[in-house]
Amino acid sequence: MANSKRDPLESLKQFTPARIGVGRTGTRPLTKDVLQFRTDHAAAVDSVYGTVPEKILSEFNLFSVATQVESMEHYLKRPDYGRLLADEAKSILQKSCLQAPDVQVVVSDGLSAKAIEENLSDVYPALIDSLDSYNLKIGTSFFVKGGRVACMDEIGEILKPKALVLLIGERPGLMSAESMSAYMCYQPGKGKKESDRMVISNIHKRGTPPIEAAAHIGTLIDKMIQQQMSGVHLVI
Amino acid sequence: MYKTTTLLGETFSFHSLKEIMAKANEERSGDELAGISASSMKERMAAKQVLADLTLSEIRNYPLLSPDEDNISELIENQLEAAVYEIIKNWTVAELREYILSDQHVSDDLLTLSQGLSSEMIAATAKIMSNLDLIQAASKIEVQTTCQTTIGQKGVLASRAQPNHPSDNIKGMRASLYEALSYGIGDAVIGINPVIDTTDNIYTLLHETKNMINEWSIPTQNCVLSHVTSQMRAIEKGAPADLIFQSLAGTEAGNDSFGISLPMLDEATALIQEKGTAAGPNRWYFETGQGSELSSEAHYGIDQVTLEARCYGLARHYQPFIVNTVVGFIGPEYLYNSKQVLRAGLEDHFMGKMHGLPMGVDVCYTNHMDADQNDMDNLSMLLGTAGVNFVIGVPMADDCMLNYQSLSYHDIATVRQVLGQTPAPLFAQWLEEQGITQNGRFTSKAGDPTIFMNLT
Amino acid sequence: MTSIGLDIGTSTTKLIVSELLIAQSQDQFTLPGCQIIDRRVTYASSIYTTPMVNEVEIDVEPLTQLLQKEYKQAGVTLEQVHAGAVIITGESARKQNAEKIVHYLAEHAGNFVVATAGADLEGVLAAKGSGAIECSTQTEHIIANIDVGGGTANIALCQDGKVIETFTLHVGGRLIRLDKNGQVTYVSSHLTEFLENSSSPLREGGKASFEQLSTICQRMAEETVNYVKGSSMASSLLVLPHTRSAVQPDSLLVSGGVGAMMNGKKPETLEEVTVHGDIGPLLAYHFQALGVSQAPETARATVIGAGMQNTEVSGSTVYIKSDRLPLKNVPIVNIPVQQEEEWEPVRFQKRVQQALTQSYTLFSEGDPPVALALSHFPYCSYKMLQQLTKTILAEFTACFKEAKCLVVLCEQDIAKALGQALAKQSKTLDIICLDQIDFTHGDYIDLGLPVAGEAISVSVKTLAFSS
Repeated sequence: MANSKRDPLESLKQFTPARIGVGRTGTRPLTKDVLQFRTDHAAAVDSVYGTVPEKILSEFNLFSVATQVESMEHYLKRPDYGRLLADEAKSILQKSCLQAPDVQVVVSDGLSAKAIEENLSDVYPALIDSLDSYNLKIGTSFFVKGGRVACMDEIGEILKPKALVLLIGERPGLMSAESMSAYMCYQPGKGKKESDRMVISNIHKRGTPPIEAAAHIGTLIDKMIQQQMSGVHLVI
Repeated sequence: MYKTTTLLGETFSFHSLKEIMAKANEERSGDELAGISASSMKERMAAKQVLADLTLSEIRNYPLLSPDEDNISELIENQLEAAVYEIIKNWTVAELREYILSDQHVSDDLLTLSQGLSSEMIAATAKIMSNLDLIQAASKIEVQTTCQTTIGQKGVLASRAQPNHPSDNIKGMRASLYEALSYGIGDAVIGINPVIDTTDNIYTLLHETKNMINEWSIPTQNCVLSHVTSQMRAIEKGAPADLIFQSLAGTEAGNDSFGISLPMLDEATALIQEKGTAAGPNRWYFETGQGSELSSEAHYGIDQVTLEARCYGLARHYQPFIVNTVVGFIGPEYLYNSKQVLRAGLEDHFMGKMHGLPMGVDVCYTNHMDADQNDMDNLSMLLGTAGVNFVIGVPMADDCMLNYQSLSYHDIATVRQVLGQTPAPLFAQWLEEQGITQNGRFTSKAGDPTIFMNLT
Repeated sequence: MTSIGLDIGTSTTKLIVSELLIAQSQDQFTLPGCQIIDRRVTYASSIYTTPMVNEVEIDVEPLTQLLQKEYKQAGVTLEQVHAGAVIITGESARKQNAEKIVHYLAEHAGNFVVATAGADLEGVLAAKGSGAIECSTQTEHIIANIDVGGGTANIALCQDGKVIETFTLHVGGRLIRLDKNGQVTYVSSHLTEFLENSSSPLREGGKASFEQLSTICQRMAEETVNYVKGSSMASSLLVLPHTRSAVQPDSLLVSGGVGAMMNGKKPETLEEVTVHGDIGPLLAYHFQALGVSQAPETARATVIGAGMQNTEVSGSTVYIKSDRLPLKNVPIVNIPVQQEEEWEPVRFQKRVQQALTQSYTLFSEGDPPVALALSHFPYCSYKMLQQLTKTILAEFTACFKEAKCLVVLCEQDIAKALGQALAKQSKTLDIICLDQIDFTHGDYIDLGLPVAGEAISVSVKTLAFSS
């Protein structure tokens, strides 16, 4: 229940996550707000340049493969290399993964390692449960370092799943440096268009609830396989 | 075109104007991604040397993209004022640079000159100019435009209030706008980037922004920055819009990927002239930004500075009220770090002004670029001295919807104060009437958004 | 979706027909959403005098005829009606009336119509129908809606589109009735203390002067406004004991029959006061004299609220593995998930056990016997989801051994994950798990059929008749 009379400034601030009502000294903001802003930026930058802890990957038995990206700078400047798997990665996938499953789950750091670190332990098991509940045959999950969204296509070519889910770190914002997206595609492969992919974005503790997102992904994948398509024409 | 030059004992050869133009650019990641940049500093300088010696007629006679193939090339070609071009056609790019920078030549001279220049000629000049050249040249050009109010006067630094909200919540937008107004921000436009691009939503947002303007008699204009077709549908339905907005690309194929065409822009022009709510003649708001053609694979191997100039060639056809480059939004694969963003910001501003455009800049960056807010402090001061028509403000520089950083309301107020600039005249007067400023200086009401709440 | 609203009050009865338009959100990047985007009144009946057998008992027969006539006039058939509410308000909400009507209407008013009553809900519905809740979403203010009818005033304090506090006062136009000569025919016994305090003796059969009535109405309006504003913390007119919170509304609106009479004109004579044989016009004037505004919708506020606003849709990612829908009158058992700083599974388990054991003594018959409503839901991790699920299943099956269907409600967007987890652990129960439901102001829930995608229509209501 609300307190008696609300402070007008507080009542304005509750309507927006924007940094309003911060006040000023001269024309400049106050020290705490400047430092808070720079701190949030620092968190965002660190999450771009961070790495996903091995512990969290091993918790779910995810092995790692790499794209053709050589460094973070290379990743940022050349999105095309993040779409292609390293040669070694291709042979590992062929050796270690179940071929032609109903659904292949792939995890990648993308632009925010922090997103994976923070959300994987809620999203991943809930996703597996959800896919299980639809009796889908799940492939061998793995982690791709330095992946871009379109790396789904090459993985699709190699493993031939009916559908693929890529859990990938989003470009960090100041509101959240740990936001994850789930991209989904029916029969990914060369020539798939952006419009064939579906996405649920902003998955994090204060955004799209991680376990509910995972539960919904299961429903979507089941529908994709039933209707043999993905994209805007899928009937949800 | 085939040119060779020997520089410090090394010979460099170039096989086309396209190659010269690309290699003459200051370093940027987008040109590297496209595979067209100079491979060494010396090659870059060789290209600049060659470019400086080309005549304007050579640039015209070797089109980078044929007017038969591309309607933007055609439009730019048809814009050229023959009388002016005839006088200058034998100038080299070096001479053009020197004419522009000469003390003898003031704003009117440059705006007359502009009529005889193609976008490629303007881009070529920018490539052989230093950052300070770009500032000096742009600062001479005064471009005034009028929608509901007039901006662009010497000594005026206008601003767009961008009160975005992650779910288009009206009260959230109002709250953010109150904050903007209390810092004297919003004289160029109150412009919202909507999350939901439906006719109904655009209609509602146009109404809400107009209501706020009417409620407080704010001398400014409103705009909702969705795709032009959804704005058109909303305006047809009776939504009050002072301005109509669209993002532009520098090639026909690029515009195609934005879902726009010249006939569509013509149709929108007719609609906003007939049904727009503003009194003045300039009713377009355009946004541009280096790299968009490459990202949509519609660049034809042309460098991103030249393609950006071609956006301005397209923009000037429609006599817009405001144009801005969203310089640091596109990402590190096009502009990697603050040095590249800063350079691009100054280039874009100069090239826009040289086209006679009311040029503004969204001084901004994303979190995966090698840049921070200090770099924006620098660029905003440089653009302020260059006489930029307007900049964009969001609360504490953090846009909670688009997830990038621009300037804060504080930053714009600071640039104005340090450089002795003012908001647009009618808006400045309104700030005095609201008691936010007194004789141009902030009062205790400044920075207090609650003064706009209806506390009955 | 066609929805009806029927308000049977102490003095008047009215009906509205409305259309609800439901849309799924188009944003392709988030979880799908579903909401009612338009609520439009398509038919409003005239305002009838409620047919009464005597002072307190409603005459069902003429009421039935009246209803049939109105349905016909509105051009709706019983089959078309998919939602709505019947609300028996004020002093007519007596047990003998209510039961009779509820039973009758369940058969004759349409398939999905909800029978409902109770002062709290009346206040909420009136605030919805009057426009006060809508106003509160558009401003930063707290708005008080005072719905003044014949016998009671239902007050709801609204903030950001939600009701945050309700209470009811014995304030109404027909609490004192008299003829044009000032001959008093009725004084409600609820006013005894108030009249004594204001030293205005008024007896049935006695005569009242204009000045006397004016003083009474002024004091009645003042006492109402002061209590609503929170400037006085007690009132002899309270229907039920109520502890006034410290919430102070920024603006006050009056709806209801008395609100409708706020036309700015002061009645000058006894004759003008008693046009309806009561003190309504004079009371309306005194509210206005205190600077209180008329609500956008007045006399029909409650019925509009009942007809248009009582139906909501659930979230769009839900879990329904049951062919039992639609379900009516499922008792809501509210269980806070986390009242402590941290998630404490053991304390939660105790709360579930206690709540279910208690509800077992009341509702052991139906299947589903109850709907578990999980409030105070914090951020839910996968680990917590597992613990939560285990506890709910264990306690539910231990308590309701015969039950074959489990219904769980929550406010947060979590139902599909919770439903899948419950189903994974229990292969025998039918599971229905719904989210984005505000169950704060209700004791029972009706679950309808899917209206868009997976989302279903729901009505939260109370059946707390005063006896």
